[in-house]
Amino acid sequence: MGVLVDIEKNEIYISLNKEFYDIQAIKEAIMDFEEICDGELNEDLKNYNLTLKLKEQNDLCSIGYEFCNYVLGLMKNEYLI
Amino acid sequence: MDIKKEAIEIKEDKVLVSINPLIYPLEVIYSVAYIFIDKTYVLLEGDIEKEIIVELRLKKTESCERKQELEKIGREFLNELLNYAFYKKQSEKNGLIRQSILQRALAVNIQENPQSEIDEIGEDEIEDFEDIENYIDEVIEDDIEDSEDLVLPWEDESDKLNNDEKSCVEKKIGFESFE
Repeated sequence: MGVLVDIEKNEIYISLNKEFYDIQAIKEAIMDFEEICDGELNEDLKNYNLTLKLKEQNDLCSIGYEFCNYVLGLMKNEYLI
Repeated sequence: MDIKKEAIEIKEDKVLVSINPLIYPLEVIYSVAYIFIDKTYVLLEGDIEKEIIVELRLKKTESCERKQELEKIGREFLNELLNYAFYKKQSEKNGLIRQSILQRALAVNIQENPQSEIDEIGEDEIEDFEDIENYIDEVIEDDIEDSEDLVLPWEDESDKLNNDEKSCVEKKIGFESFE
């Protein structure tokens, strides 16, 4: 599914595959993004499902994808977590 | 082999790179993905055992150039995969030699330190050092062809020099004492 946005609700839905993304990195990323959005993390069998609610109107798509990149970056630099 | 069909697929504003995890391990894919996060948005999908799909979206580009840019970025990703995979393989291949050099350097340092510090080394570690030294000797024997006798043992040369210096000093002392 990847990244989906709901412009009316000002929300971003991100689905990250459990096989490739680390839960600790996702939690850390949510904390680091808390100035611009509130994050909610759920999971199913295959994916971590995130809902990011932006505090202000912004470019939803860019923020969603930037979030994914940020998680990857944290995973690369595990010592930051 | 048509790479475009099998490894790269362009879809509107993104390129999907299909990777065989048996050829490129996940850590290599992470490393390559990391260098692409500056210019693209990267998402990892797929099956870790069968096929890993990397989705790349350009951060900024003119719409008329998008397709070419996407194709270029997809191919660059494949090139980097090969680059990192090769680096990893070489790194693994040279790992033992690198470790040997490091441990030998440390062993030399230990020799200069008091006996009590040497006593702290476990028997296993001493066995490791011996194994490594044997390995280095084997590599040297196998790989270095010294038909011209260019390579001389440093210690012999050093002893020779020391003996020369010593004899000079002895002569000098003898001369002084004679005076």
